[in-house]
Amino acid sequence: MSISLSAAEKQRYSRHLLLQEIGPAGQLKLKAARVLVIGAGGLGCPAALYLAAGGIGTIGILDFDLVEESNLQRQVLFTTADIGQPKAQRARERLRSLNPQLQIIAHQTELTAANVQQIFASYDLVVDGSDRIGTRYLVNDACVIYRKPLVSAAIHRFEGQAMSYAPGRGPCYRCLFPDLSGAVLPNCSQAGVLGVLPGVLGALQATEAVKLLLGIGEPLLGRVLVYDALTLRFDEFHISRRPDCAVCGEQPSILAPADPPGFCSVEEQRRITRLSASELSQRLQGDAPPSLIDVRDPEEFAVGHLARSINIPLSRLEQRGVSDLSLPRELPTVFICRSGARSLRACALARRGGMALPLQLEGGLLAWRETVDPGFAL
Amino acid sequence: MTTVTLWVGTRKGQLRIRPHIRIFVAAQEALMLEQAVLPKDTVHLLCALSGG
Repeated sequence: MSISLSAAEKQRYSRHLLLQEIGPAGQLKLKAARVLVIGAGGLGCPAALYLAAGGIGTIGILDFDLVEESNLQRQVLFTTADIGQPKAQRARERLRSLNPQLQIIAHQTELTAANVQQIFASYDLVVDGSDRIGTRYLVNDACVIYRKPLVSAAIHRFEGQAMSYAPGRGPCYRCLFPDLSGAVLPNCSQAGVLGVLPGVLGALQATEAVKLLLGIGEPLLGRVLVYDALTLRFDEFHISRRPDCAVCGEQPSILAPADPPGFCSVEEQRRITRLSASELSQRLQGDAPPSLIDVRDPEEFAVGHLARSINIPLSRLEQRGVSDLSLPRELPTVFICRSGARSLRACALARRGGMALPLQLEGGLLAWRETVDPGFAL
Repeated sequence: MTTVTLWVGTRKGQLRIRPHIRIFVAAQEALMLEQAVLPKDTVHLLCALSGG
C-alpha cells in the first residue's frame, strides 16, 4: 500500500520537510515506521512525545505499571489526574491528543521471554527506557536475535548513558556489559534522580531513533555517550563488538531471549510482605523474633550485619534454591540486603521454594541505619 | 608515567574488572588492572545503569 502525506500532514511537518535530510521522502519513511518504546517512565515519556510529534506512524508503549505521584517529577506524559491509572493507557491518550494522525498501541504488560518475540514482531525499531537491568538484557538479546535496531539509555541520579545498536553494524549492549553477575543496581526509586535528566536522555533517544529510521547522520553505534548533569558535560567512549559476545559474537550461546537468572515477575514481587526498619526493630525485641537472612555478599556482611542474622548470598539462593538450604519454612523469615532490591528477589525465590512467610526489610540496611541505628556500619 | 593498579570497579579479592563495569583511561579502555596512567589522564568508570 502506497502512503502519502495529506495537506494537514504537510502543514504539521513543514519544518521537517524543509530539511534536505528529511524532506517529503523522509517524512513518509517516518510515517511508515513502527517504533516500540519500552517503559513509559522518565526516558520513555519524552522519547515518545518527540517520536509522536515528529510523525512516527505507529508507536507502541509498553508498561505494566500505574502512574504514581512520585512519577510526575519527570514523567512528562502524565498529569496529576492520571495518578492511579495505567501508564500505557494514559500515554496512549496523551500521544493521541498530541498527534491524532498516528496509531498508538498500549501494551499494558510486563516484557518477558515468553512475550517478547510476539511483541517485537510488530515493530521496526525499539527504544529502551526500562528501569530494570534484567529487562535491558532481555531487550538487547531480543533485538540482536530478531535483528531490530535498538536505542538504549539509562539514568542514575545526575548521570545518563545512551548507545544505539543496529544489526551487523556494531556492538550490542552485552558487548559493553557482558552480564550482570553480582550486579545489583539501584533504580530511580531507590537512588533518586534529577527530574530533568531523563528529558535530556529521552530526547537523545528520539533523535537516534529518527536518524536510524531515516539512515541519516552518525548514530551512536560503537559509542557510548555519557552525560553528567552536574558538570553539564558529555563524554564519549568507543566500544568494539566482542567476538566472544554471548549474543552477537561469533559463537553465540544465547540463541533465544531468556529471562535473567532469578527473574521474579512484578506480580511475584507485589505479593511479598514488607517490613519497615522500625517494624523489624520492634519484632526483634518481641518474644518470638523472626529469623534473619542477609542476602548480601560475604564481604558486605563482614563490614556490618544485624545480630543473629545469617549470611546466604542471593547468588547462592539462586543457584541452590531454598529447598536445599535447610531454611525454616513455617517461621517468619526476614530477608535483608543493602537497599531492598536483592532481598525482594530472595523473598520471591523463597516463596517459590515453599517458604510460608518470607518478609522483606523495606529499604534494606540503608533504611535500618536511617531510622533505627545511625551507627550501623555499611 | 606511572603504572597503577586500578582497584576501582573491582571487588576485593577478585582481582578482575567486574562485568558490569568498564574502565577508561584517557578515553582508552583499560582491559587489565595494571594500567599506565599519565599525570593529566582522566580515569572514567562506566557502570551499567538501570534507571529509566
